[in-house]
Amino acid sequence: MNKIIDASLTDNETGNRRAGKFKDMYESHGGSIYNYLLWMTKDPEASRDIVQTVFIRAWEAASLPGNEDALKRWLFTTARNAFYDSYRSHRRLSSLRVRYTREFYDAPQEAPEGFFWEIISECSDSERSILYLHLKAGYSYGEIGSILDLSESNVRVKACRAIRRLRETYKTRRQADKKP
Amino acid sequence: MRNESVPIPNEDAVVETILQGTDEDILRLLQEHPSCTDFARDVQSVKDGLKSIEEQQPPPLLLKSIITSRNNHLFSWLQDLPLEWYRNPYILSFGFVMATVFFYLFIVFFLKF
Repeated sequence: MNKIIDASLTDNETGNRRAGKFKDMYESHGGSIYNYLLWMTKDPEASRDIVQTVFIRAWEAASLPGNEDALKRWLFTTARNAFYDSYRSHRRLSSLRVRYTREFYDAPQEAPEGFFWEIISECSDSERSILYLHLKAGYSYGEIGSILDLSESNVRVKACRAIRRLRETYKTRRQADKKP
Repeated sequence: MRNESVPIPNEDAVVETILQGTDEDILRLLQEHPSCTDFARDVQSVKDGLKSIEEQQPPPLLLKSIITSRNNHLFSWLQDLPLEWYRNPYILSFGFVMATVFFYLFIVFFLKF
């Protein structure tokens, strides 16, 4: 595994080079990671926070994969872990936050809307992960398995189950729309 | 028109073909199993719909805050503290032991002076 970012670099020139590489990495992969997190949370603000956490972890990592594909997979895995960490740490505060926001101000409604945004919320976290990585990022089931720490057959089963459930919802909604 | 009485051969296989197969694979499947045309069309619509979800612009990179947030902060270790640290049984046990020790030291100190 090559090292593209060496944490021991300290002088200004190498520090600037490191910052430049880091910016390039963000420009190449920041969009995919942000959109993946948006699929997971459906909350732009939470996604922005978690993206920062992911790239803080990348900055702090002693070494990162030099290969672009491996680096992207590493970022997706880190994003998945950061999402679960964030979910766990905010779960306790959520009820307080909801009460607070209801009492004092209306939170901005900037969540993405649309028919498919609505129906993907019916999937579990891991199913949404799999669907994003397969349909949007273009990974195979084997690669998704290595990113999410699941077996390939498990990924296949979850993907099929999710699509079948979404198809049921799609069919029901379509029939409901047809009725006057 | 699909004949409702004819069962779909294997729904998972149809989903699998539509998710991973090529156009020729899908065409062959529909030719072999015309009864699953409606099902396959719905699955294809769901797949296309999910793929068409628009990508959003990522937030700007706050490189300076990333660099300074952890490295130059006096209390940066607080950020790494788990939120529910007080529920950790080891920390609780340690707390009770220390409280007991200090309590006895306090009593001894009072009795002596």
